[in-house]
Amino acid sequence: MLQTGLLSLARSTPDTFQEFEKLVKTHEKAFYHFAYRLTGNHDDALDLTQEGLLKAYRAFDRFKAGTAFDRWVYQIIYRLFIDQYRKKRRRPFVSSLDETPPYLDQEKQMEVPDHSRLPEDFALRHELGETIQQALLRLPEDFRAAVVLCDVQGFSYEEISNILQCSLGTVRSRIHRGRRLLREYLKPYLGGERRTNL
Amino acid sequence: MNCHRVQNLLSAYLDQELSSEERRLVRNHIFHCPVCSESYEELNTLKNYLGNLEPPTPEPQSILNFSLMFPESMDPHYHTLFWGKRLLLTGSCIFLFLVTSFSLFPVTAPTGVARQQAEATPFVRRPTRSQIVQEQKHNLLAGSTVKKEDKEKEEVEIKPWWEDSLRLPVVPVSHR
Ligand SMILES: [Zn+2]
Repeated sequence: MLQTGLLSLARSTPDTFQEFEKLVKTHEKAFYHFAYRLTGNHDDALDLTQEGLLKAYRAFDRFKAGTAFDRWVYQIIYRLFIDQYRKKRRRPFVSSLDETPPYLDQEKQMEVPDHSRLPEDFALRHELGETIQQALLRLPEDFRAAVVLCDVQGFSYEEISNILQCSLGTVRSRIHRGRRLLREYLKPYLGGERRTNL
Repeated sequence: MNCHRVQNLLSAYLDQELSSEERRLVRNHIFHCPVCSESYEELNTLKNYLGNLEPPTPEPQSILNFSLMFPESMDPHYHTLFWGKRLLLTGSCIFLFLVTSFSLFPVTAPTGVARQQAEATPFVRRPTRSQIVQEQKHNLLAGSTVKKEDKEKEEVEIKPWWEDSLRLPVVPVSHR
């Protein structure tokens, strides 16, 4: 893979490289964030982002100038994720809405920290962030990508349908179902009196 | 609108992806229905949580680390320098080879191709084979004395290869 990368680098002009680098620099953190929310760990996220960017660079001549560069790269990252990371998934996910995950009951009884009494805001955020990430990882990949693109990345349904290459209706359905699952997983954190203002 | 329909539209309502009419209907329903209102609040909190998720820490130093992957490509003049250097190196190698080979082995006698070329040049008239035989016979007859003419010829032949080329007319280079 590195060799093909080198080959394409030798073929391309320095202008192409600099143009690509400039475009990436403005979005790379968001790409990484997206990859992290999909994979749930740094190593896989970095691999996924870098592989996606290398793939994007090799196909850069096919990128239509004037179209959204970031959406194009998100699409590449998402496809890579579906192709590669699905295969090495460590545990099977629960795709059925009716099926209750076996560990949900334990989680419900889990101690919910009283956020108002915790002085360290960072620790709180970090802990909650971890919990949310774990919940995200329990979602089917398609739902996860749609929800992350919508709520974390802030894309509109139309932009998401562009990235995921599916219809608007599918986007709406995936986000709806993904959120419903998340609401189940994170129920203890969403209650009225326990709601924290992040 | 019934609760089931509203529940299905809540997510899109939250994302402001409903038509203005649907939005109004959902808003009215939430206002009157405590169940759907609570669902809405929960989903809203969830969306806020996700939207406020902090970027993963620690962030990698550089995500697109092409400088690590391909250090030479970072030089903006990399591509031109790369091939320019190669051409220059090859050219100078060939030049050096030519210079050394010609200076080490100067053409002392016009043999083979060199002789044919010499014969082809109109400036120096070479004796034909029969003339040489004649001369040799003549020399043998006249003893070992070498003609003055022959001596000159020899001298010309011993001269290094560049002597002739130096004598070539120089084309004036016009400077603008
Ligand atoms: Zn209702």
